[in-house]
Amino acid sequence: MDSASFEFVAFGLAAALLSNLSRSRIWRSGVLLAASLVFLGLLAHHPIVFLPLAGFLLLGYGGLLMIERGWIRSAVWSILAVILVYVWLKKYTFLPEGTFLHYPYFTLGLSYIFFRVLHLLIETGDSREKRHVGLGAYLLYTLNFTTLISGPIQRYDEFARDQFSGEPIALGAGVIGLQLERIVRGFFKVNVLATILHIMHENALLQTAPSLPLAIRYWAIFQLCILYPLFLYCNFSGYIDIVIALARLMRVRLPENFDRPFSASSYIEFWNRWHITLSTWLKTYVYNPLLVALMRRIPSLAMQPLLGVFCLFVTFFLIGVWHGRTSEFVIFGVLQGGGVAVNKLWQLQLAHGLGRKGYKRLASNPVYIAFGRGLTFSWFAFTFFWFWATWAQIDKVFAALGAAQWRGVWLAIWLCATIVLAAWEWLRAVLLSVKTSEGPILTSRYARVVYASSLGLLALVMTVLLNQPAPDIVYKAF
Amino acid sequence: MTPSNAISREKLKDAKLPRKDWILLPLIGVLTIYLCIAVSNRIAGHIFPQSADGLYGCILQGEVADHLHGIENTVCEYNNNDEPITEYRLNRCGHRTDMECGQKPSGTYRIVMLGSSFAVGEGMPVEDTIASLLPEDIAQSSGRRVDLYNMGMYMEHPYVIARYFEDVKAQHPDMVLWVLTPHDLEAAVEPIGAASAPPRPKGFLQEARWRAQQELGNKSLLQALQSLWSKGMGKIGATPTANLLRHLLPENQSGFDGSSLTGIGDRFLRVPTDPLEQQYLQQFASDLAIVSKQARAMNIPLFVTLIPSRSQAAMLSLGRAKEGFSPYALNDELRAAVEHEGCTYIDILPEFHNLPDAEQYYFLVNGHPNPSGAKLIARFMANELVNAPLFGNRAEPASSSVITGKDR
Repeated sequence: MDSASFEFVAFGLAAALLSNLSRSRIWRSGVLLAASLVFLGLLAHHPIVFLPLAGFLLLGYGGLLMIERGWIRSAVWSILAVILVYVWLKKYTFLPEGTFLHYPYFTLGLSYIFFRVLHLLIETGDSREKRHVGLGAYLLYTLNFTTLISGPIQRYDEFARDQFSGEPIALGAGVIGLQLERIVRGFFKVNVLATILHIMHENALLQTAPSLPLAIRYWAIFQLCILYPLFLYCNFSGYIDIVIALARLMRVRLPENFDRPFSASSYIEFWNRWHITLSTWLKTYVYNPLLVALMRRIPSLAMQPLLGVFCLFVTFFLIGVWHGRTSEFVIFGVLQGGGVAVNKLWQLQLAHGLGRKGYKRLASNPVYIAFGRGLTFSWFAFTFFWFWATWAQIDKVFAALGAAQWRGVWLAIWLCATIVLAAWEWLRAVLLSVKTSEGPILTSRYARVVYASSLGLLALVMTVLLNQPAPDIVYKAF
Repeated sequence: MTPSNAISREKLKDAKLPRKDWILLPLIGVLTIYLCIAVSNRIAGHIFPQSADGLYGCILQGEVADHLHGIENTVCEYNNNDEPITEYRLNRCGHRTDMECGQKPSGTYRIVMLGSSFAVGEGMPVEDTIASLLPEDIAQSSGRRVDLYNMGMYMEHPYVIARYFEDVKAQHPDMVLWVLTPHDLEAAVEPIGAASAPPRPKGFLQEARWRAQQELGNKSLLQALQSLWSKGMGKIGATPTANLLRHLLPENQSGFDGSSLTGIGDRFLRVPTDPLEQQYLQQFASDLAIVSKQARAMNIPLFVTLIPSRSQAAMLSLGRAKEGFSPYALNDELRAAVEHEGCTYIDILPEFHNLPDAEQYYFLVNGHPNPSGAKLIARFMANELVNAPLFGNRAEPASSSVITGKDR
């Protein structure tokens, strides 16, 4: 079953329907567990392929029990064991090849399970209040089919609050309508927009051959740079739209993972809007502890901003490296960390040079914001070469143009992104300013029905015409 | 989430749906869908207008299923999907040519062209068709003047040609050029005639039952649902809007290596060919045997050529094919069959190799060559024909009686 396919949506809707037959938490949990197990069964047919995953889950639960019962003083050993087994199961290339399991086994969603298990271990270790997570609740939390494949990474307490509440959250006609609209929007993003952008990206890659005229190569490179971030946004955020809506129909609120990321006017802000649950997780469990630890060791006030920059670099480097096991992802990590660190240094420098008020004035200047938005998009687009391409492809693409020509391309991308994104923000603000007493007309339920009906029809027609499966959810692979 | 979004969502969550909205909202949804369809079809119909009458003013159903023949001295306008509306003017014998039927000026070397819609020149004026351009290209390549009488007709698939090959005699050919397409091969097996199907009953209930029987046949419920779904999707895909959208959507160039080929005739790009394709090829070989036997009996040299399908041309142009695919597989099979019968095979496929974006020489939706494609194909054919050993040999009068496909 493809992750954002018609079948997946139908499966999720059926599970939601069953779940709502009773408000009892036992019933709802039973349905969620059954749906999650059936979902796993649909993804792989032989039980033996699930053994390593089952082992990983048991290891996590064992660690959790030991911390809960006070058998071990600190969660550190459990955390280290979980990290080690995760790295081993994911076959990171720095480990000896001979140590790996050499039969095909199921690792889909392992990264997201890993984050959830670590979160439980850390929180249980840190918690002063005693709490117990039962095996059933643990399995429901880690294997929940709506978050299994690509997140979002939900905190356990938020999950438990909704899932195990005796009084589940309301699900009226208005909410159902909103979720159905969101499913249609997500389906359209993944199956139509992402598919079209993927095709255009593939075509552009073919047009970078040195034998082709320079103008064609220029255009192809321009497209290659701008299309991938847009594709990935549609692909990932579309899937997230679908699962958040399905979970809400099952009376569970999943955290948002995207908040109009291309509206961000700085790289730091961008990462507050893109894959929010991952960056929040890493900020909570890497950035904050690391900064505190460094500040304890280096108490100099003058050094504190630089320590913050360093911790930002480490955190976002890890985000980059997490995405893959090859050396391309190390560069991707360096570029993410570098982007955020340079952004922070730039902010510090400006604040130092202009003073706080001067910097605030500049940061609220619409032209500064627009160019910042364009630059943020351009840098993000640049880093993606080390995300989607192999070294051979990167060499081929970079050889398609000379250094001066590349500079021209990036300048063009920056300018275009600045203008297009500024125009988009302006248009959005204008449209949302048309209001009635109930709020903006565009977000009224009538407008939403018009929007969802036309988008649904378009999605159906385009899916037929495209006549090919949508590209897989990219984040499924991580 | 931005504050504006969050606020509007919360408001909607809290608001109890007024009773009128239970009727109003679905109504708005249905109306939106209806308006979208109506407006988009109107726009698409304006960009790609469809002919009102179609071909039925000029073409009649023949004796065997799928066999059509032109009505003498008729003119009609027709287009298929994204082709422009084109005039089809048929001569006294119902052929799409300006030439006088049954007469040949003395001293002229005449080629008679056979084939289906590619040979007819679907979607283009007669002066742009391969049949019109080929004599000029031959003259340019070799200095020889030839005339070409086009007997191509819609659905003139191999079994139809085998049955009616003797008709070429009336046009006094010095050679016959049989233009094949992969689709002709798919249609190589004679379909069961519509006459054998049970007649459509009158009355609402009887007709509904008859329709259900036609749809379901021996299918399981799941198969029937899948078939209905495919039919529904097929109907969506055939709307003017779908036609327009196909032109707006980007095509996956890298898919032409075989990753996503589902077009007409694309089954023949797979290697090795599966049993069904083998069956088609065997059927073609048997039709070809009948045709070549008749041609030999008439002492007319028979030349056969294959015009590649759109995806085949694109695959040749791309210069690479995924494992399990080859743009030459069908070509090789046909050449073997044609040479086995002692006829001449005109291979134009190598000319497509490395031709940039070869798919642009075809209509995107219906897959026939467009006028640029016809020009290119005519030139490729001329290049190969003038170098063929038997080209230019005049036909001798027939010495024996002719065995026809009708006798099989």
